[in-house]
Amino acid sequence: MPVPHGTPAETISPAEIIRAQAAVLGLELTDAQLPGVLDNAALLARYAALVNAVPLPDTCEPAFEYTP
Amino acid sequence: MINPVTDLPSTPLPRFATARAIAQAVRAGHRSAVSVIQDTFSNMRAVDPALNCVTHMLEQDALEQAARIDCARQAGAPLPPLAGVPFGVKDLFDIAGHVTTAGSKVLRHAPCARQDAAIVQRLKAAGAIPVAKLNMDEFAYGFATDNAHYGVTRNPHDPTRMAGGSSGGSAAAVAAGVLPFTLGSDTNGSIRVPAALCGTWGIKPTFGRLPRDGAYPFSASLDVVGSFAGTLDDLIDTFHIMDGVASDDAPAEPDAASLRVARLGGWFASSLSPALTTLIEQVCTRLNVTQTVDLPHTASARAASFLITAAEGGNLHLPRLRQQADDYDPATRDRFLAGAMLASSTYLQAQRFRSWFHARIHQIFEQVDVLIAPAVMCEAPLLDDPTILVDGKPVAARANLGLYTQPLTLAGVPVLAAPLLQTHTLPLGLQLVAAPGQESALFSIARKLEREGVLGTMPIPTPEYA
Repeated sequence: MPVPHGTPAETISPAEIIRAQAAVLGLELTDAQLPGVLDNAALLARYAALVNAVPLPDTCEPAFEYTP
Repeated sequence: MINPVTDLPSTPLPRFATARAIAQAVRAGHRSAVSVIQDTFSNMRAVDPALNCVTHMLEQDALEQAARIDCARQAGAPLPPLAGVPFGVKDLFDIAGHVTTAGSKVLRHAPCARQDAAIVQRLKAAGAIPVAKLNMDEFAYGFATDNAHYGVTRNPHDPTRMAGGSSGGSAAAVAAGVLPFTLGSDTNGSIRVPAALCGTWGIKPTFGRLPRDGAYPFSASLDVVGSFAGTLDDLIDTFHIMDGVASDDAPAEPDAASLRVARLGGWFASSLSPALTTLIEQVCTRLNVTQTVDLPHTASARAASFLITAAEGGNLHLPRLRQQADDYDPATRDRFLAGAMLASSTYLQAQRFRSWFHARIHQIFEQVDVLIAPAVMCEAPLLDDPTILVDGKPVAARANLGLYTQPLTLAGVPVLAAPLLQTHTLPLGLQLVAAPGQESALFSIARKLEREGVLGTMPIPTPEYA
C-alpha cells in the first residue's frame, strides 16, 4: 500500500520504509522476508552509526583500488 | 620412530598423514599416488557421515591425475614437490568440469567451470590432487557452516559443537585428519574462525597477494583466498606454491629473535575466556612481549568491514534476488537484501574510514613486526546452544564469532591462525598479524612457538564416528 503524499515521516513504519527502498531497486519483499530484512537493516544502521561517528578529513578518499 | 606413511607402505594410508610425508612416500615409490587417493576416499567415506565436511567428491578426476603421476614416476620423470598429495577446496573454487555452487542451490544449474581456479592450477602443477569440494555457509556469508542446502558441518573435536565458518568444511576435514591441507577464503574471518574452533593452522594472506581468479566472489574489497593445514610445515610449503614461488626460492624467514612483537589490547583483550587469557599470557611470556598496542576505533573498523561486505554482497546478488530470492538460504537472503539497500553514502563512508584506518595500521607497523591477538574468544559453541559471552552477556555466536577477526580484515594485513596447545579444553586459536607482505615474519614466530610446545594441533579424542 503506497504511503499517501504528505504523510508525516514519523508516522511511517520501518516496514513501509524498507518496502519503498526495495521497490526503488526493483525488489518486492514478501511477508516472509520482511522480518529478517528489517532485523538486518537495523543491524546495519547500528554499524553505520559507528562508522559515521568517526570524523574524517575531507581529503580522506574512499579506499578503492586498495593496496594494504 | 616409525613413520606409518613411509615405513608401512603395505598398510592403508593413515589419517593425519602430512603432505610432506605423503609426497616423500610417493616420490620414493613406497606408495603409489593411486593408492594414496583411494585410501583418502576410504577415510573420507568413513568419517564424513558424522561431520558433513564434503559436498562433492572428485573421485574420477583425482584417480586419473594420480595415475598420471604414477606413470611419470615409472618412466623415471622427476616428480613435483606435492606429487600425489590430496587436498580439498571450499566449494567456491572452480574445478574444471564441475559446477561451482558456492554452497547454494541458486547456482546448481550454472555452467561447469572451464578451468581450475588459479591457486588450484598452481597446486596441481606442483602435483597436488584435488579430491573434494567442501561445505561452507551459503555464498560464504556466515561463521557457522550451517547450510540450508548441504547441512551443518560438525566439529571433529566434538561433533555436538560448531566447526565455525564460512570455510568450516575445509577446517573440519583437516582437523579430522582426512586431508593434509585444504583451501578456504576469508572475507571477515572465514579462515581464521573455523581454524580456531577446529584447532588447525590457517593462513589469510595479505589482501591481493594470492590470485582470486576462479574463486566465487563475495565482497571484492575484502575477499582473500588462503588455506588450512594440519602442520605448520605443510601450511608454509603450500602457501609458497600458491604464491607462485618454488620451494628453493622461498624468501628466508627472519630470525624470530630479531622481530618486535606486541600484543593487541583493548578490544582484543575483552570477553576472553579464562583459558584463553592464561594461554595468551604464556605466549607473551615466551616471546618476552612487554608492549601492548591498541588499534584506534576498533568497533568502527569492525563495523566498516561489516558494511562493505553487506553492500558489495547485496549488490552482487541483486539481479538474482529480484528473480529467485526464495531459492537462497533465508538467513543469507535477508542479509543480502538488507545489504543491497544500504545507502551509498554509508558504503562510501566505510570505504573512507578504511583509508584512514590503513594509515593508522601502517603507523603501528613502523613500531612492531608482529601483533598477537585472539582469534575467537572461547571454544566452539554447542550447535544446540549457539551463544557466546561478549562483555559478560550471551549473544548469538553466528553474528559475533568474528569479533576479533573483522577489524583486521579491513586493513588487509596477513594473519596466521595458530592453534594453541595445552588448552585443557577444546581448541583455542591465536591470530598472528604482520605488516602487508610480511607473511615470513608470521612463519618465523609460529615456528618458534611450535618448537617450544606452545602452538600445534591437538589430537582429537578417540572419535565414536570413525
